[in-house]
Amino acid sequence: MTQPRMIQIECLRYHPETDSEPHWQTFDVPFTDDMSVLQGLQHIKDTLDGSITFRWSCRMAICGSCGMMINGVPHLSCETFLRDFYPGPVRVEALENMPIQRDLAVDQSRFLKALQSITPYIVATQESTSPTPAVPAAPALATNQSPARMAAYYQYSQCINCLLCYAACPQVGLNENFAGPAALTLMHRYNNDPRDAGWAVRSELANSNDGVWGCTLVGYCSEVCPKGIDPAHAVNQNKIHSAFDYTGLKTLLEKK
Amino acid sequence: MSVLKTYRRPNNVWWWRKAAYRSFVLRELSAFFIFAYALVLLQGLYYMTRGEKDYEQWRIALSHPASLTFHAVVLIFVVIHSVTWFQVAPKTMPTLRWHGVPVPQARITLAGLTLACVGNVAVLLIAAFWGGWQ
Amino acid sequence: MRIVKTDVVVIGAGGAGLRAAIAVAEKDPSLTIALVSKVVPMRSHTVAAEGGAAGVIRPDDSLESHFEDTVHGGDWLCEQNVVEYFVAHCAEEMVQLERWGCPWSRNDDGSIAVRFFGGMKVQRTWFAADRSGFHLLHTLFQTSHKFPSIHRYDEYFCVDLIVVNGHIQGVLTIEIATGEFVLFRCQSAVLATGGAGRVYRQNTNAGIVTGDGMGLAYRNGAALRDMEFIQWHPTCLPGSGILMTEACRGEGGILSNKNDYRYLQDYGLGPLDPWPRAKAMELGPRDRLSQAFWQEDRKGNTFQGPHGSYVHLDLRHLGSAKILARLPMIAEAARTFAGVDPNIAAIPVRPAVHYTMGGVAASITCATSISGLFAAGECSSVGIHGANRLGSNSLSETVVFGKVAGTQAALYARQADAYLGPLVQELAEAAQAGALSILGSGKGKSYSRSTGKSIGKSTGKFIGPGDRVATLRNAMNDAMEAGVGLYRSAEGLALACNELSDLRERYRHGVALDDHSRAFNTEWLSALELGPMIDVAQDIACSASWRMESRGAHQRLDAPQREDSNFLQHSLAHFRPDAPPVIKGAPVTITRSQPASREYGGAGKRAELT
Repeated sequence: MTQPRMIQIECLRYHPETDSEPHWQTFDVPFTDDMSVLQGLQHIKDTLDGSITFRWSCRMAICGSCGMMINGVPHLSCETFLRDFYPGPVRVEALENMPIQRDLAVDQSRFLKALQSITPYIVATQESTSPTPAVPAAPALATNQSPARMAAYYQYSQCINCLLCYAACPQVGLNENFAGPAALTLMHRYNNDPRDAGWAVRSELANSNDGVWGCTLVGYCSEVCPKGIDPAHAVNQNKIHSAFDYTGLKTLLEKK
Repeated sequence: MSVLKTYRRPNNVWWWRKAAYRSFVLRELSAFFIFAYALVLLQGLYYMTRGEKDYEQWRIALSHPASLTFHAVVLIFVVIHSVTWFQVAPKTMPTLRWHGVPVPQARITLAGLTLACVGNVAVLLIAAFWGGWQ
Repeated sequence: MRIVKTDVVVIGAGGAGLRAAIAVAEKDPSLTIALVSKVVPMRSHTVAAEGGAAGVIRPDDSLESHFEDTVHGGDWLCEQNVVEYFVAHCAEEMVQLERWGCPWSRNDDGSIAVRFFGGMKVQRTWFAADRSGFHLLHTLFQTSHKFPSIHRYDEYFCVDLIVVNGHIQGVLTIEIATGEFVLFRCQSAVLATGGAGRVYRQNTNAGIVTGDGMGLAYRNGAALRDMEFIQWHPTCLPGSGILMTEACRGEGGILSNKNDYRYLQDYGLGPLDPWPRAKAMELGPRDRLSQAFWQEDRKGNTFQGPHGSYVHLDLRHLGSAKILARLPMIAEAARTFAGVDPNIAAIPVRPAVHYTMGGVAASITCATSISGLFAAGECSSVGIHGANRLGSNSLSETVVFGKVAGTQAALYARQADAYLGPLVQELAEAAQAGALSILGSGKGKSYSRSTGKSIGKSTGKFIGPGDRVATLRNAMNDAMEAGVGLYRSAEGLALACNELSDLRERYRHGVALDDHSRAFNTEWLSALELGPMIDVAQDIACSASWRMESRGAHQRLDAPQREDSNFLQHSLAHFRPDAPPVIKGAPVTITRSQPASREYGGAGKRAELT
């Protein structure tokens, strides 16, 4: 049996109870060709240093837990492979633009707040006008939705909330209140869903400097998105809507 | 709830660290050069109103080496500005579909750039011929 | 410790937990709900489900047919009255999800598309491309934001249930970011903590599917039912265990061995032609397919690879257009994790542990034996899966019974008397002490832990240095893989039971942690998970030992036949702190479908795969 190759993984460590600032720690990790960076970190935790903290769950790039900076680029560690960095070292750091809670785990609350603020659910026509919507009766039939109408929003519903785009976006780093690529993409997903009538409810945020106008179209978010969702496109399409809104043209042009 | 101190990493000089950010800054900076050239054109318009002699003097001043260098730099940035404008354009419009299939953004960019090139060449040719007749 | 007073606690925010929370909010908006989850809700394992959710909508389908397929698939160990309720409410829940925005895939005319799934006579599996669980979970999570009465506590780890006189009174948790203990005092609770697949090594499950939720109910007196029935999904990538959805076969994928032979025809699932047809060949049930692999492996007909033996799942004949439209995530996963492009090569697959049919015994109203505690989803055993689950029944299960559990928890909370005595605080403090003793203080030191509040008290005696988390976990995995696999025997099971008893002892002697801090200490949390995990693993082994017959997913080399006379009953396991569980039988509710032999394959019409 061939000896496994070795690679150095450098991790940015930070402990809120004891550290005033982060520091780097290097580990020597044996690896096989099919091992991901996540598996490398798991090896470190299991055998070398159990205190290293990182989030992970599904191991197949669908839960969005394991986002981190790997050699300065935001990646999902479960689908990034050590063989591609050989001979290394591999520098692993918590996602940028968000505060470090501990080691490789960031504070996600900014995103969760932004998610809440974009009204992330179907606002049905009658609900959008009534102030206190009653609990609707159990619906009898699914709405009819042609593949073409689904295509208007489907791509944007694929977001796994991995926050790589937040690490990529410099505006997220500069503006604490900017809703951010994923939240605005989800907003676009709902606005484009034929079952939804919630543009009015979402427009105040959308049209603000923390909404679509917080974006300067750097476009790096779309480069790093592991699901190819193109958040830059989702956000910037809405600048036209927003401008129409501002000039009152939207109401004028709205087809009832 | 006890709040533990999270660590915020410093955010200075972000714009030079990644290729994507450098491209972005270059694109945005190009606007200044467009503006600068607009000022030069405005200046030319002004001298045109002052009569042929003044206009001729201004035109000769433009062939000063410093001015030529400036114009070369401006040309580079105008090209950057135009190319990036067409790269960004498909992201600002809803997805174009051709018989239900989304048109790739690169194709929209290419179409735009082609039209721009054709337009520019047409203008240059017209100007050359018209100038030739004068 | 911090105390949060609430009406209902929902533990777990996956498909079942979120649906339960929404059900409470809709049933009674004046009740406060604490939705507690050890991960942010969209990370829950529901997200990884791929194939779809069953619900009868075709005119050529019927509730009777779905009922028959399910009971047949469960090898007659299902609670038939519960299955009747289940099949009658699936489509309604799917429609509700659609109204909440779930992007179910459509036919060209805009109607809901449904596809074939293993063991089902008619197409009834609703799907959203090949990421049905992802869309279901995100729809529920996003919709939950509509209800101000749902208060989310993301990344709060459940340490123990606080049960007084057989009634649930609270849930003790750790706020993961800070390591602070938080006690939720409640009137009722819903347990929706998922399955226990991680007690095995080769599995499709996320790292969080540790069975510690059902383990905590178990330690507090609730019985675990039918734990011996563990589902191996037949088509998973070797090594990682990453799932290649049953939808691959529902769309027409085929399985062949190293001789390029479609071997399923030798295992009661043939004949080959006409192909495809429902319930035959690759559209057979999961237990039969996984067992066929095991047999082929023994005969030496499988390929050998660095991560074990495998067979080929071939999708090439489907064409790249179909693969792109219906199976895009599978194609991406095969390329990323196996280096195989399914458009041009077959995917290497083998069985891996996927689903826990058993769980906390619960009635048709999701009530467990702990008053006020309702269980839904994979952590529960309401009785719809029996000895083998049909694919796409479990996503439907999360929402059908999530709603039931939430509604019942709301009703219970309204009429329950508030308990005012000091016992809740005392029990919570004892549980806290137990968790802190696992944490230990100073490097290398560790302490023994309390084993169960209603039975014992924390001793705090220093015994020995203890094992690392990984050492204990690997030992548990080894025991399960070796002794409680696809095919079992008395010796293998007895060995596993004993090894797991030893492991419980070793665990009690303490776990050697590198990290003794409080804030975001995931090593500590893994150690806390391990305790109930080992208990659950032992229950699986012991229940398997008790069942001396072969039925569904539980196959015994020393008892290869189904024995209805002795074993047409559930296994019910009761926890004992210092010994293996007591296993007793419990009767199966049979209404319409008398036990018959399970037939698949056979003659039939060629089916049109939609």
